[in-house]
Amino acid sequence: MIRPGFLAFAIILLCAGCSNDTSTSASTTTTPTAGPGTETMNVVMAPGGTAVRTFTASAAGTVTVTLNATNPTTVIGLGIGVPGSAAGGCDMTTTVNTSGGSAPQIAASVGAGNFCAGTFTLGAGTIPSTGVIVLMTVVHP
Amino acid sequence: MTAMRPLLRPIAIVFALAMAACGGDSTPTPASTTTGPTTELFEGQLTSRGASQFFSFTVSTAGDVNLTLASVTTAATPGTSLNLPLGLGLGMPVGTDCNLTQQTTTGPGLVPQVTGSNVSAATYCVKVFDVGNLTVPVNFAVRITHT
Repeated sequence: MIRPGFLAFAIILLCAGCSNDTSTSASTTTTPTAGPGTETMNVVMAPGGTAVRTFTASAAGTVTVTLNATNPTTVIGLGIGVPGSAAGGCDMTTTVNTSGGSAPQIAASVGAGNFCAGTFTLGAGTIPSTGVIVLMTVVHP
Repeated sequence: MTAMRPLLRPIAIVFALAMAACGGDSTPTPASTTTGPTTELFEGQLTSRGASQFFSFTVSTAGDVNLTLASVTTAATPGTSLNLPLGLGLGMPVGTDCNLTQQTTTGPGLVPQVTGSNVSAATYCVKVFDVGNLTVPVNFAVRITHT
């Protein structure tokens, strides 16, 4: 025997669970975008090696690349480009030979898309055999 | 038990009506997918004065084509950029060549130097060529974005 009061309660519970969830009524897939940001790279770069960091500019604007410091202090190559098959995986657009500093050594106009920035050694014997610690910062739109 | 039936009947009717109203919209909502432009990278080398190379790609739906000569480097100093102006053009493949419809002379940069606006779906080509400045072999990279 089922009591009428229980049935009424069951109906209320069932109907409460019937509402449509409108938040899932449409499915939209969009390409993820990366917003403005700052990327840092802190690595040990071996002799003859490269160190590259990729990033995504979400809109056209200016990218600044700063070689903040190296340890030991030395002059190395610093560049910005697009991901590719060159050494380190970055086809360089603009490069400079520089030591660490607080002001950006590279400022480049970019469109939206994927880019890379990195450092490279300038030849045999330019850095210690144990490598050099590199601290680089990239600010992008 | 028999006395309960008159009470159960309206409840059963209400239950049935409530369940019938609970169906919601069963029509499936098609998922929409937003796809961005396709990006391709054309890498090559120009080894002698007057040399050229081209690369073909397919535009699947009408839209803009952007070409960016993103990198010019030398094999002698790998990694070091070279601000050497090269010819960069957009066209359509004809035989074993690329018949250019627009072109420019530009050094490497990270914003498009050649744009084809609202081109129709077809096969196109990008051509990189020396304009008389080449003294050593150079590697180049062109970023192509298209629909």
